Amino acid sequence: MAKRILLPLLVFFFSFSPTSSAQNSIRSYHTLSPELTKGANAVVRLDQTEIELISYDKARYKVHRVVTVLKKEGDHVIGAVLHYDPSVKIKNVEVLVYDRNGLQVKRIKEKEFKDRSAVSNGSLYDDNRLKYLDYTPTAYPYTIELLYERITNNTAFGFAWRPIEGYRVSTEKSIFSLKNIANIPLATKESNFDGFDVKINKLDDSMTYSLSNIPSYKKESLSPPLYQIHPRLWIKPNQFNLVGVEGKAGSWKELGQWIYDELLAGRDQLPESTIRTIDRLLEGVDDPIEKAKKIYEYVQENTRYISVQLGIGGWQPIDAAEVDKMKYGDCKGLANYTMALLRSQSIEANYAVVWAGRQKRDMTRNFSAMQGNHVILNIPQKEGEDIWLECTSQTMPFGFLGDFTDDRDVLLVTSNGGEIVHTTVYKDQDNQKETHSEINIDEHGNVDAQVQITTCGIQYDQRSSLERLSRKDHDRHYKDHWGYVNGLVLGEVASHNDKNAISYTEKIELRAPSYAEKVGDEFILAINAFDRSNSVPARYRNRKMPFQVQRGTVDTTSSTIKIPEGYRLKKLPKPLTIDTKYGKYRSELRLMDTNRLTYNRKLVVNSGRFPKEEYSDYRDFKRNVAKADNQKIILTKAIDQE
Amino acid sequence: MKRIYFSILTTVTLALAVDAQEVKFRKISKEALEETSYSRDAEAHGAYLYRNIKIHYDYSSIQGFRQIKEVHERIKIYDKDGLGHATQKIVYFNSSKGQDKISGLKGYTYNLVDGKIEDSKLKSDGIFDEEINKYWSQRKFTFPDVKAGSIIEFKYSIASPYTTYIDELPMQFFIPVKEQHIKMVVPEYYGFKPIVKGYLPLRPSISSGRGSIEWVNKQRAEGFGGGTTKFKNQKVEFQTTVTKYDMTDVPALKPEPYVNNMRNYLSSVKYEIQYTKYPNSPIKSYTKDWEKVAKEIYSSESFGGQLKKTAYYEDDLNALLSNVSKPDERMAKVFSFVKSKVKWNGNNGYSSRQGVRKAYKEGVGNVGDINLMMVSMLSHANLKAYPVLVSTRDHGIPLFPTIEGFNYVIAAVKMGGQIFLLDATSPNSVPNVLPNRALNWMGRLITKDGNSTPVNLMPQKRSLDAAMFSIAIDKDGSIEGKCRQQLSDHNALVFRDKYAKKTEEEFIEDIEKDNDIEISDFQLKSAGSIYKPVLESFSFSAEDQFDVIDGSLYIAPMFHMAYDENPFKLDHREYPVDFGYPQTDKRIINIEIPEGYDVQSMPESVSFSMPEKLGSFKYNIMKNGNMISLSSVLDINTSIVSPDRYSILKEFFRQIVEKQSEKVVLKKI
Repeated sequence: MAKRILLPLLVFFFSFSPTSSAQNSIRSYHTLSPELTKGANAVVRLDQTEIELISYDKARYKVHRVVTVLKKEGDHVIGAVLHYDPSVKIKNVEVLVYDRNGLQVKRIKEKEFKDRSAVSNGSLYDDNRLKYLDYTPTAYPYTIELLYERITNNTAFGFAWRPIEGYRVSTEKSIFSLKNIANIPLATKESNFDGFDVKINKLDDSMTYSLSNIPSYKKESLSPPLYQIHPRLWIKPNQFNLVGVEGKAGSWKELGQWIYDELLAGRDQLPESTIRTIDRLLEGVDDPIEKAKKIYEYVQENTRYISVQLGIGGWQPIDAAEVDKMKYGDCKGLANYTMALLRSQSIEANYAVVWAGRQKRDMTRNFSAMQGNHVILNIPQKEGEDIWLECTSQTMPFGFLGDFTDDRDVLLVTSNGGEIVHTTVYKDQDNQKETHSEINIDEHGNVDAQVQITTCGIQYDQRSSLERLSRKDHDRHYKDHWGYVNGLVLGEVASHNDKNAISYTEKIELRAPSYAEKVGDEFILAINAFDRSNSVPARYRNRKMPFQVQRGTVDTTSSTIKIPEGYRLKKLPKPLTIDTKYGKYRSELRLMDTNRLTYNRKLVVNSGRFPKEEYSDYRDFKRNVAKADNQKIILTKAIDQE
Repeated sequence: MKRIYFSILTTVTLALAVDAQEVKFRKISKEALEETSYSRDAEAHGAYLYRNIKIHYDYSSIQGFRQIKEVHERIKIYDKDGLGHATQKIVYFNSSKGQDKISGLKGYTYNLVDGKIEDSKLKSDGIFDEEINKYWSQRKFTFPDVKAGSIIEFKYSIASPYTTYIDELPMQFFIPVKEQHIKMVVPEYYGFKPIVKGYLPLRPSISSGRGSIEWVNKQRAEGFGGGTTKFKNQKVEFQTTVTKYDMTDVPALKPEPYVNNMRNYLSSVKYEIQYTKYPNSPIKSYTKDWEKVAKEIYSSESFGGQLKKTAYYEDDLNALLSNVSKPDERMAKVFSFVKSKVKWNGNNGYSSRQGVRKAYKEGVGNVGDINLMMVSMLSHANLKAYPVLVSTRDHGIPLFPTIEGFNYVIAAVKMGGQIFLLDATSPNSVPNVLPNRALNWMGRLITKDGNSTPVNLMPQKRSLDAAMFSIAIDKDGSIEGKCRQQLSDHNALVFRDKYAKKTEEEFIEDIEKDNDIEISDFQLKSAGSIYKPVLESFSFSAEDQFDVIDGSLYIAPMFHMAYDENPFKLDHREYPVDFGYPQTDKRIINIEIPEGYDVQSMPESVSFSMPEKLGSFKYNIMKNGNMISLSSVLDINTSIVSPDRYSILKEFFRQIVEKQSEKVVLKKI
């Protein structure tokens, strides 16, 4: 009987306990507004990061984070993966788990976190480790509250705030504050704040930013990366510490100078024997560019990429002499080594820090903070013609960057300090692909063809790796590439990689059984057999993001088609043309004689960034191209001409 | 007089026969360095020129037996894509309870420079120890001075206190092996049994040898005026089993598509402990036959012990079943109760990791926690319930009665002469529709008294995917239509798992993307009631679906429902094709002929099948008033198609693609 009385009492207690319910409101799923849950995997109820910049070499973060996870895909949003290394300490970790009603169901202590090495993929060794929570939720939605402190001695990278964390994650409230206890001169960069109601409160020694109630975004194809669209705050101290080395970053010139003096200077010494080897290698070569090329190829032949990042070694190249001995290094080490070899022959070369990746990303021009994830080499030439070298590749042609580091602002580091410069741009009209084919159709509709594809510019980068594939991989590649050709049989494949001209040529022999389909007495076939642009980007009912075409291309096709004896073209189709701001298309079929046709086609795709409103026009362009590339012709029995 | 015996010294001489042709470390031939490609496989980027692995035992009175593995490997790097082989790693056990000890790691890179062999030594700055987690560490090492043409060579030995555990011995790699020798010398105190994986024929030579342990005993006799010390040599002789694999020209494994995990096909041997029989100790048997396996598992606390526990759920379960009397309903109740109560944490294992009681309380558990709990509850509900040991797909097939052969457990209920298999780790699974990971040949049903029977895990019933379309075509090339689709059994399970991960909007977008259509009026019936088939329906439209040439319409009448590419493109295949489960794909399509048009030609109806009833295809098409009616039915009757049937399968699908792409021609009247 006593039990029965307890229940209403409990209800009474909770309903009249305003502090408890107010406190728990963001821990309950029920208090979420529908606009935040729509399409979201998780909602960041609260992300409160308080930073105390204690001195130029010490900062303390206090993080308080409450996340409601709506589905499995949102599990990672709880953020219970804490990276650390010898200069970063994590303290006072606590996790509380709540059910959908906001009732606490579990409390997890730091010692229940798992600890493991965080050596990244592609790296042989580094000193990064992480503590992570391996938590299996018993039901969705659930809420996790995470508290921890992080004390770091590295201040070189500054402090960033990104209140919109990713796709399908909405933000109820995100607060960022920084207290500048030691009064270190700071620079602040606010990006993409327009259109977002960011609340800012700045005092003499502190600043607070907050943003509330931002619904989630979903990924849309061709959209620029989130950091280019969404609000981002970046604060950096002009005096900093990086793994025990003090530095200044008042300007790019100053930061570059620091990198040169502290991280590079004196690391380019080479053993005499190596210099003599290079001397011999360059005997009889006078042209400095030709010399540089020989040195680059020497590095490609003799070294390989191995990444070891320990302490300051994450930012400082290993000695050139060490690379010379071990014959391996990471991007910094190999760039520095190549630079040393070039300098030994009095060829000027400079170290350049870059954000690498297919998505082009600039070093922030007016904001000199340590950034970038890769190093390449610059050989200065006259304005706009600098030679750039990717020193981690054993196969890239001399002076070719490809889509990993092309067309972006990078930090050039010289003995006179740093400077922002721009890497090679592969212009739309230079990114060419030429496809030529000789097509022979027999009286059963089978096609025998010889296809030659030549690519240059950025398209070279996308195809030249075919050179190193095995016969079996070629077979797989071409069968996928021309997947719409049923039963394709691959014959001889030959290729020529012209690294001087930077062009790659493939010659492929193949057979396509029944490519021309028999319908009654006639054959029907798509005239563009080997260079179709079939991909039409996804349709969005309500596109939210602008879109970008990062690199433009020019694809030209020419083919000669021999039709079987006793057949003729039923009707010559009219040329097709499409002309839009996104690109141009033209194709034309011509009758050479009774059983020979020629087909010519040209597709130009322009690069550019366009507003979301134009997306459907762009999609129409691509769709119309796909349609035109599927144009069919009919071969019909020739009437006896006797 | 009291005597104290203690030994002060341990020397171990397990006599090892020295192999006369053994390749000496650092003895490299110029010819090998001059080689530019592997003679039998021109595409290989690298090759093991030589591998020599020796496993034997030594003994010390402090540490007892230790297992020693000596490794000597020599790798040729032919081109730049082979440079990755210049970084190697040794994964080893390293916990507070016991450690593997690596010693004598030495390595060299050899290059031919101006016709002379030059070597570069692997030094400590190229060696890194990394703690992976609490139990495992790895030692990575990378060789200096490596380029295309180099040979690298290394040796080390690793001593382990875990004498009953022998690491899996790989025999095949993604690069070829020119010559390899693997030799195991195992004292009679250990009985191992080999479990062979992969497609390589392995023919070990087995002989017996002798070994001995020698040590010195110091005997001290206490007496008046000090003691006297006597040294006495002790020697124990024993038999050894010597197993040797001597192989030359082992081909590289070449990856193929539609294989989940190529590594499963690499040939290797795993030695599993059967018994230990130490001197003056009773024999300890590990596993021998199914009866032993069953009994042993049942007697372990983490398996049988967990099945016995009932108190933690009794009240809840009794309440749940109080008004349910029919056995099949009781089974369904328990099944869904366990699913709702405990969520799977993604970890496999046939035994309970944390104990069923804790799993029940916390609502999270591994496979053993969840399904053993379910077996116990089903028994408690007066059903004949048993655990069934399973090896998941990525774990290989258990051919021998071994415990290590299994890594998963499900529940079986015998009822009305039928057997129902249940797996509560998958929320959308129903009896006899197991998640894909558990569909792996045979499981082993075991009972308390040691009886065990094989249970076929492979679904016998075809899962249905049936869709009906009615389509109206417009002469501008676009189509509009309605679709009703029904999915049963495994198809329904796959659908539900996929659907649960997405918002409906995303789900629809995926269908739109996959089929290049636009969807409206999407409706899903019985997605939630997992015992029924999935029923979905939607309206759709699509553009550019057929060609208009000279006023005639050339229509591939299956539109986006056709197989437009053969999934099997390669000429040969060495590994089985895995469909997962038998299935029927049925498409019924009705197309309205637009006003003013008539059929000029239509494809012919056909039916053909693969031999041995592997599968069949029926295609029927006819004109019916102003409608074209088409039905296309593809039956795949087996889960797995062996590689020797690959060419038949490929041709079968080629014909399907060809048939489904054939056109109906409509001309203007």
